[in-house]
Amino acid sequence: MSDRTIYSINYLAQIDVTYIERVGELSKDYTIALVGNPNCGKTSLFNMLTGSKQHVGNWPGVTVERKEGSTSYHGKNIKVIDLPGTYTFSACSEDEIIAVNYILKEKPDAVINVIDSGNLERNLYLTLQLLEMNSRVVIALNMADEAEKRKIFIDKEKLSEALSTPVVPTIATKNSGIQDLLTMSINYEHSAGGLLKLDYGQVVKGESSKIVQVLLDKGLAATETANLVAIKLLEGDQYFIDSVKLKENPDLNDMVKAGRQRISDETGFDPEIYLADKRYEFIVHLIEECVHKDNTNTDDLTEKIDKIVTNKWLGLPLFFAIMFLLYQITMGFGNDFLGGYVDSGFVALGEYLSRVMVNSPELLRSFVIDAMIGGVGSVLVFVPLMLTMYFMISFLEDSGYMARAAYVMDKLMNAVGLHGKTAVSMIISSGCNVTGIMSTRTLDTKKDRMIGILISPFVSCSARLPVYALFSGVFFGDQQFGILTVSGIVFFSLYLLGIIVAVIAGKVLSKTLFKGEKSYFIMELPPYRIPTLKSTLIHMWEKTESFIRKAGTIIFGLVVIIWLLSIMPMGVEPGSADSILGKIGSIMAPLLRPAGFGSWEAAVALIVGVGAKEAIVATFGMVYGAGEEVQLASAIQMYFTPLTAYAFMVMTLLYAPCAASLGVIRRETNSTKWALFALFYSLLIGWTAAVLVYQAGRLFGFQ
Amino acid sequence: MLINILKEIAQSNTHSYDSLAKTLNLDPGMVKQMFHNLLKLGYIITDDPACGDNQCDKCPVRCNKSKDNKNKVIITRWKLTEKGKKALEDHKTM
Ligand SMILES: Nc1nc2c(ncn2[C@@H]2O[C@H](COP(=O)(O)OP(=O)(O)O)[C@@H](O)[C@H]2O)c(=O)[nH]1
Repeated sequence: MSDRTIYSINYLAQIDVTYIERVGELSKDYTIALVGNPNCGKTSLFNMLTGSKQHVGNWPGVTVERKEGSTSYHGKNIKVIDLPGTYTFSACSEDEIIAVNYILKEKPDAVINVIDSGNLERNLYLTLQLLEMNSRVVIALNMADEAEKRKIFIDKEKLSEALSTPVVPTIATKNSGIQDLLTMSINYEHSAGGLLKLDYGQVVKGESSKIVQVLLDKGLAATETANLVAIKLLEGDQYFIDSVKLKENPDLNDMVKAGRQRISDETGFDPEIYLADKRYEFIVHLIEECVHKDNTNTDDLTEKIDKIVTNKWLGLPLFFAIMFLLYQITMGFGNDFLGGYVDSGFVALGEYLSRVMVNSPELLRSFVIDAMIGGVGSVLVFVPLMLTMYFMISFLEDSGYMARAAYVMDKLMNAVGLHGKTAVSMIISSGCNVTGIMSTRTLDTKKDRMIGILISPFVSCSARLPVYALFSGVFFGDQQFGILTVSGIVFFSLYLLGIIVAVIAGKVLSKTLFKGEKSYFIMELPPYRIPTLKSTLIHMWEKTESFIRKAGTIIFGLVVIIWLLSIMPMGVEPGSADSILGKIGSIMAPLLRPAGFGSWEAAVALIVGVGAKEAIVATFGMVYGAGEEVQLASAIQMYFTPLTAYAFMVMTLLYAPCAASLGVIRRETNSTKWALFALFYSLLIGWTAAVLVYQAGRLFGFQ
Repeated sequence: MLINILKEIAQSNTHSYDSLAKTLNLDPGMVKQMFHNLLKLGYIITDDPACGDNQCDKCPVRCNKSKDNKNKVIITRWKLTEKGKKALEDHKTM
């Protein structure tokens, strides 16, 4: 603070700390009120003071909880009232009005202001406002243990001196200092000087003294509180405006108006900002004088990790590195290692069933073996892959890292001019697009919402993984790049591509379709935790279960439909190009030829995939498995090349939101038009991307 | 001091209390308190909760708002109100 002389606080250099034992003179119902910010430990302190002697009710006329208790001091009964926790006393909300009203009208015998010692800067504003209103305050510097741990040293004497009020360190959770606090609250004799008078500068002083005169003349305020009321009127505080019935006192009203105007004119600030600033300046000054922080190298672990993880330059690469690793393990361990067993299990089951069902009716056999084992089974084969991935994702989520990921992504989005909040919906989308789209719900501007809704479906969700796993397993499964699996790299490249396309699309949309104002986004990061194995496993299972349930319901339903289409019309060879299914596919196939996968089977799979992306795998499993005795993998190998497989995966990633997403888009935008727009614009983007991949690949000499 | 916060909000410069605090050379806790105060005084508004209702179970972010961490809100979005915009304008023209 450059100019400290502006504070002419009534420094009470001569605090007389000798208590007068007042037990004898205590009136029957001595009351102590507790005030403080939320989370300062007020409840803990209240509980320590009152023990089991508590009564919980409501404040009259409102739903705010009223907690009252009692304690005893040298045999006398002391009433303790827990006022609602607030950050300020501007009397705008129910909580604040209750607190202000109680302090001013009920006049408790003492007020204990509970402060979080580790957070003085945050807590002292309320303290100042309290000291301006009440002269019988005792400050409890609570969480003294936390402050000590964080090497924050508070000079109690100086603080007490500066605020002209006693200060007692406490640790509410350990019942430490509580008795001293009680003794002090009852016995401390406050100076007769009264309320804290901050120096608000010449203009305010001039205006307020004029108002004080009128208040006193009209008997609208008592001598002790007149200055307070004047300041509050200048500040435009509704509580005081009402309490002096300002509207019914036109000359006072005019005087206040003129005073406010003069403060604005002279300072350039609204009076409420100007007066609040003065309090903050005082706090900064107070902290400089009374608090010493020795935390040059005492950052706790969370802070240390966050310094790296949310670093401007490292944050994003680190996030992608983590996702890269995650896909490596998913493919290497989950799919190749674990998945192998399940796969051979299904193969064996299929062979066994075809032997057993040799004499069953043709249609039944086709249904069980082609549709169930070939279709639904080919999706279930990926359960181990999902388990592995979900385990790691759950671990990351439980550890608190995903919040950092959202934070880092938020910065990225902001850098490209998109709303940071869309970053969160994108993170959520990588689990499931539907949830991601819904999470845009409270984006307040229409622009941000629409962009969030329209770009979320590009993010690679877990339903696409079976498709990637099938294709990259077939074509890249046995390839290694050093210690890395190539299929893991393919996974990651698609994940990255999804995000890139989403960001670009968002950018384009914000430049063209939607324009609007920005809002400001602030994130409070939760502390890191080491997840317990139990909670990680539970979360992993919840996710896997819904994958399996989806296979048994939606995928099953889709498979039944395409199976029916594949055996119709009657007499046609099941699953051939002549079936209805084949005909539909054949119409669409030419459109896909520029992307390299113009077979009717691929076309059909993509159409069904709009129902649910996993169904792409199920469709291939069914149509390639039908009739002949070929394994899905070798069929894929026959119809695709590594290049067309990659183009197909790109198509799968981008080409259309699934049916559930489309439904949610329609519901959230309340418009079929937007749902159709989402469908067609992503079809166009998906198709273009797939064609680009295929054609560029060919230029470079791939097949 | 408060006017600087309004300015930062208007310009959407920084994205966390901590970095804002660093920019303004203030304590992060105090900056948070200032946001509360500006909210109470009607200069800014927030649209908490910032996430969709009942989405917490499915949300991977596991923020302070999820089950085991009830009270705190992790993502808060702030906007200037008309009063806030006017205060900023008036201040600029001084
Ligand atoms: N370390 C420490 N923790 C405390 C202290 N007082 C309260 N707490 C903890 O701080 C948290 C918030 O306390 P609570 O009494 O609910 O705060 P309130 O919102 O002000 O009522 C709880 O987890 C308490 O256990 C203290 O003196 N030291």
